[in-house]
Amino acid sequence: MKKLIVVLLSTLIYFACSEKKEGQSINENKVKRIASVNYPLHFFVTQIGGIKVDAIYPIPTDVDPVYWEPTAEDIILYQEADLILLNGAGYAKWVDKVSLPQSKMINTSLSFKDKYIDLEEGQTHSHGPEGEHEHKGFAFTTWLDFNNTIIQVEEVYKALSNLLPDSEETFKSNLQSLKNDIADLHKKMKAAAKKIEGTTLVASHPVYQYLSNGYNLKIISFHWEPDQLPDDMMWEGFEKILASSKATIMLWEDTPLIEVNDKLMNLGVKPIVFNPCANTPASGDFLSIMKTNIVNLGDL
Amino acid sequence: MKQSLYIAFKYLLFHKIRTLILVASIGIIIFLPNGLQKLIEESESQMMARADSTPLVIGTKGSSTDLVINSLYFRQEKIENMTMKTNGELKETGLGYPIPLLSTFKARGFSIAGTNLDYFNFRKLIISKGRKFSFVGECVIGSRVAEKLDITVSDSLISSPENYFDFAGVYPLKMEVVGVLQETNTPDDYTIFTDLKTNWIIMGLGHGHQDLSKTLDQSVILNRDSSNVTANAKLFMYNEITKQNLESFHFHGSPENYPITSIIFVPKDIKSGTILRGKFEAREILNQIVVPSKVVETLLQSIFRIKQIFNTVFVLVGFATLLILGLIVALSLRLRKDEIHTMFTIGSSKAKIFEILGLELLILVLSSFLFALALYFVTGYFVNDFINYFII
Repeated sequence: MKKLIVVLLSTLIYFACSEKKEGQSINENKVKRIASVNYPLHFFVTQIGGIKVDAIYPIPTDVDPVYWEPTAEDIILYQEADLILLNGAGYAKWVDKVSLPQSKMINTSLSFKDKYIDLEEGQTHSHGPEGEHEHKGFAFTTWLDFNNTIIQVEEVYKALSNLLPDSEETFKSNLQSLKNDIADLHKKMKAAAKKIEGTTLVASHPVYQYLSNGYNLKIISFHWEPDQLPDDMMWEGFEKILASSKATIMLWEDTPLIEVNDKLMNLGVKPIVFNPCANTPASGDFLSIMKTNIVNLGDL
Repeated sequence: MKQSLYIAFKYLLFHKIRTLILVASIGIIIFLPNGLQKLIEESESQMMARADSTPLVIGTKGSSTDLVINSLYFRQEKIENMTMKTNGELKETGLGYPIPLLSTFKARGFSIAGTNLDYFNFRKLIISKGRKFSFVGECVIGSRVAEKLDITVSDSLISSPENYFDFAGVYPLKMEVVGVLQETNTPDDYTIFTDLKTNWIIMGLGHGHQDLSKTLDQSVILNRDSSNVTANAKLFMYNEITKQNLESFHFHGSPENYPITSIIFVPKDIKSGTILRGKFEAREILNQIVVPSKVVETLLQSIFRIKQIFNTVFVLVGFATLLILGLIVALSLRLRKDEIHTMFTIGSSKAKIFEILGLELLILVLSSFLFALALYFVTGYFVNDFINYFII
């Protein structure tokens, strides 16, 4: 009797497992996988695609997606995706060193490539008969100008609709809702920028070029990290710039160390967090982070 | 009958050499027209299948045959390179997707085909061992490459220099084999696949070296100012891409100007393909577009003309062989006059003697047919070589 029960149970478990596997494979066949190279694009995919797509974003939260170094397994995830969304403007340096199916790659900023901003800083090098090589590239946080964001969101919509034409109507309605939210951000950002019109801002990192361009803000950038103490030379250089620019606001990607915060306050500079949100935030989402950024700027 | 067969068999066995020569000559004569027919038919069907599965090929203006042969078989005819700009233009048409190809280099005698992963999906290539290439510097090899070079996953291959006397020219690159393809019985079996970027590194358009802005070795620096560092010839270029030096690899110039030999274009549908061909006709896109099946068909038509000449030759040779066979039989009967007389004397009937001789001839002819049949089946294994040496 015991043997019979064991056999019956085993059979039941076997069939239960097989059914689940079959169900999974059907599901896998249906849901298209969309991989993105940064969080904003991943967020747009989840907002527009909803449950119709499987949004893939394997980049760890503690890494800057621009400089992420993927493993072979990570690359396979992208290779097997049905669509690979790129930010363009030289974002995700790793893309140049890996092999991805070109037909599945969509550069979401291609339509405004003539508006890419050249990086001012950087060094060239020369060797061999080819002479000097340019290594500067473009500023890449394109989405910080919400006009660009809307174009990129529309590109995501087009790519998803081409992939899943049957779901186009759903995507369209999701797109409209997202575009309304971004348009609202744009309006608020314009109002916040108006308040500080004519003021020079300093930034901890050169990532605000499109914000500066889109909202007519004068921003001088440094290379400071929120979790690091600047050395004396860095402070000296900073104070020199401060004296000539009369800047009173410093934009940070994240909250700076308390010592840095205090020293800045003593110098008459108010640190403001304006998170570019290139990677998945610890809490909230792209829209809420941008709202907080604008509130931080508008509260001045 | 059984006894006659036994005697005939024993007779042929006794004259081994003569029997073998006869079987071989008759067998070859039977085989030749049929074998050639098979070779041509299979070559034709293989070539047409390859051509039919490739909708459109785009390349610089010049010989359409060379362009198709290079794109389909990776035979490195000296065709002029085009740039990636055309690839971008084709992608922007929205009529389908382009697959760029760069087949210029070799490694240990096998062609290196630079492409992207769309090629694998397009040709439905399956990896039997390992994985597809993920990083620059990696390669996937065809099944026959793996077999002939006796290499597998995690082995390496070094690209051959274009010119051994050009010391400052193309650097050989050590590539890691990360995958082996399942056998397809197509030219892909004889090819080493890499990413286009790996080919551009072999060409010298991309390279890796120590960071000049951070290096402590001042002997490599010729000049340094605030915006540019100039290195001298001592600067060491990496000839292998590893996890440690991958970050240092970079490309120079605009990717739009990087070279490719051709593009396979996969249109969404027939209409899209026709529209695209119209764009080339209207010179909206420069370069030439060809339908591979038409080019291969023209190529095969010339081969068919040669086949007809061969067939005539074989008929004549066959006829001559039959005459020689008749002569051999007649001479053999004359030589065996005493033997036949002995058989007659010991009581064998005339009919029995004819039966024995007839069976000898039958065994010879049947053996020749079997030999020809064996040759016919073996021919199947040489279709790819036949295509490589005699057609393309």
